[in-house]
Amino acid sequence: MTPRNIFALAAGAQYCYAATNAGLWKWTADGGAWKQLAPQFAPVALTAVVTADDTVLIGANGDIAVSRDGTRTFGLAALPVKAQVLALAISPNFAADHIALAATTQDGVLRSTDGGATFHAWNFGLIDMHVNALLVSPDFAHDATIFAATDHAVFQSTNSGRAWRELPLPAEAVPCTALAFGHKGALLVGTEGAGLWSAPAPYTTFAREARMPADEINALATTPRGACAATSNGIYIFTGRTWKRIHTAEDALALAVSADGTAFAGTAEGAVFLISE
Amino acid sequence: MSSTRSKRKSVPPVRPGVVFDHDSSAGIDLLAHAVQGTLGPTPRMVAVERMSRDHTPEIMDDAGTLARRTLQLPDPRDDAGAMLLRQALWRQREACGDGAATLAVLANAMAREAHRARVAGAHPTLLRQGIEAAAAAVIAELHARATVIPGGAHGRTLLRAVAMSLCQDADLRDALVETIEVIGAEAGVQVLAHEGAGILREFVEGAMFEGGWITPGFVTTPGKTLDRAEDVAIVALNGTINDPQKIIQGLARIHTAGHRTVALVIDGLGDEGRQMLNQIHHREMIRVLPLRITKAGADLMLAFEDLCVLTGASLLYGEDPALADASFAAIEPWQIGSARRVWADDKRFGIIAGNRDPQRMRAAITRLRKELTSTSNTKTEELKALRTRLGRLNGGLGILRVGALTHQASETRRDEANRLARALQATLACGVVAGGGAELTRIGASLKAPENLSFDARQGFNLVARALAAPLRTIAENAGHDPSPVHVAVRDAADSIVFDARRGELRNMIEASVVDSVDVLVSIMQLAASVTAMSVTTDALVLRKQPPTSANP
Repeated sequence: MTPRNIFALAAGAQYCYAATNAGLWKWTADGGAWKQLAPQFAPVALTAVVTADDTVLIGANGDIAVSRDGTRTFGLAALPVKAQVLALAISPNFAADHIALAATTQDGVLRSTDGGATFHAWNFGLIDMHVNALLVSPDFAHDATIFAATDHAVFQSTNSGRAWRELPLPAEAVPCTALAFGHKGALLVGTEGAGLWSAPAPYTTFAREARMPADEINALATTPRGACAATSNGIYIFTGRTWKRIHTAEDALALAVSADGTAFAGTAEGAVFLISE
Repeated sequence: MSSTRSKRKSVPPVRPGVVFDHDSSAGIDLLAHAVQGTLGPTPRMVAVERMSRDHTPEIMDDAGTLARRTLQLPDPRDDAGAMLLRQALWRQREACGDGAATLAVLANAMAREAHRARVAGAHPTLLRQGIEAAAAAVIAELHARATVIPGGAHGRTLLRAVAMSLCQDADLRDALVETIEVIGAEAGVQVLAHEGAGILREFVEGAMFEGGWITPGFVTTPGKTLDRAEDVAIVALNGTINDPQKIIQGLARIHTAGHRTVALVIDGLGDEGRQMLNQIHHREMIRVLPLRITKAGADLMLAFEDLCVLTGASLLYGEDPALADASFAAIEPWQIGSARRVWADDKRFGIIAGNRDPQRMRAAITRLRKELTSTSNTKTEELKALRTRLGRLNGGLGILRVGALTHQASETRRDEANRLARALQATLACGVVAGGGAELTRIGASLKAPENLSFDARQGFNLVARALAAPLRTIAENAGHDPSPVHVAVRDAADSIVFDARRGELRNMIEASVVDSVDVLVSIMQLAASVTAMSVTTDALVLRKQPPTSANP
């Protein structure tokens, strides 16, 4: 079965995973072709994927599965409730702290400290439980900071995802669909219909990013020079001064950037583009 | 430090009567001097006489409690000012858990200077205008200079520094820092008694209500002490249901609306209703969990309000049993709330991930925060209830079970735990500045009265700026140091430098663990300005025939 929709991407060094309506797929730089993995998930619509070294976590409606051997075998994670997972995130120091997080449609943020084997709900202060996106600080080992974008607000946690506090995002900047760090570490918040918003640290003042012409932001990803955005108006990349449209695809739903700066965009039509500046 | 304590002694005024040219600052001065010895890391103790001679005097160093013990002064002219300050000190203690001694010293310095300015001819109303402008400027400066508590190890270090400056009980301090670090600034903290001498912690997920199941007969597995359910419809009904026919009608409507599990949060369940629910339970068409909230009157209504905000349910009214049954029988789909998970035992129940409207939640939380910070609210139980509700809406609870070797020690330890929890949560919310009066001193030195203020208002503004050094000077004095050189050294030092009164030297605020919560200082500033403004603008005192009997503030 060929995937029709790419819902999420996770990029590593010389490879990229795709969570699709037809299970999990992988692309490697040496082969150049997409290959389906874990046939048991082929009939499952996967909505989230994240990876660190040999560990791969995938999310679907009701379950999270984790592989610790590069997708050869998967085990189901123990969840407090059959949650619909919209996004997954892991700590930059996953090998040491084993922290993984899941954004869900009704159950807020689920948090794992054992590498994804079990998840617990930690939602102190998270008044909106419909979480669309998560963003982990690159300096997580020191600042323990995570952001969560929800239908009605953006929340920040400074205790590695246990307690949350709402950021002062203007009321019109909703629903929040995507998060990334932009130029000089500013927090970028993508919305469905209200464009792109940014706030420099400590994220107390948000302003609409006037240089971004698109109103609907489907996905954001942090790149070495700033960020890239998948929008209803094409794929944009920040050049250091402005947002430049680099692809006309209007249905890109997922973005991922590998550690070496290679960026991928996946579309609702089942295509994946390799993005270069 | 000058004092008016010994300056005025005259015959007490005649009752009933009116005292003109009333000076409240003398009473403020008396109470402030009684408690100012407790300020700083080297506090002196204050002994309070007991009501009975059978007991030794109560020895304490907590300015808020000392103020509360001060029920009345013999001279009604002193009493009026002292009670003004007493109210503020107790309010400070209840709201923030800390800062009462600093408030007493600051309010006294401000009131004394304001009284002098008034005697010298300044207009009280204009003085008040300047005092309030200065307080607003100080509060803005405190927020601007605050170090926000970051995440990770550095944040933990700052929280520990705050805790160390407030509490000498290392076990309690560590347990609370870890608890607050997990649950954050606004989730609820419940401090309960514990049989042993140690401290236990637990975290409750979701919004918890006191009450629990009405009958264990509906528990899924007999013998279990905790019941859990997923994807639960929530019905909130302020009344008792009993009529079997009406119950069937109501449940049929809930079933038709697509729900297969329902939590009935009701006041009570009659015998016939109980039998009917038992039959329904055994037929397994719809699972019913009857729950109650153990509150009454206005408290019950507030709990129902929270339940509705959290789950999207609409409260059905039916104080008359006949109306309750009818309301339930006619329930509409839009009146049914829902939650992803519900748990219950015989004493409490919890709602996790209710189907709430975030806008409505935000509005409710904002309203509660506003009520909590209102300076007019001083009742301990009301503040506690507001905090519980705020924690409930924020979706979590940290429970600390605190024990000690004796009953009295356990009580004292729990009281200290409550105070420390409030102070740490306030610190997380607003950040910290250099403590021990250092930041206040530097802000005082940098304040400039706005040009657009009148001459008298500028006097009011400047007297606040000068008084801001009083806490630092008192701390130095209490520790046996000459306050003037300490004042000058701290005033001219860099931002993070404080005076470590124990060592008698200037140090970095984190290394010395001398930090103040901005929230505590803001409250101090607001209350000190309020006390001073009231004091300076009060011109006459009306005395009743019988002196009023004191009550708790």
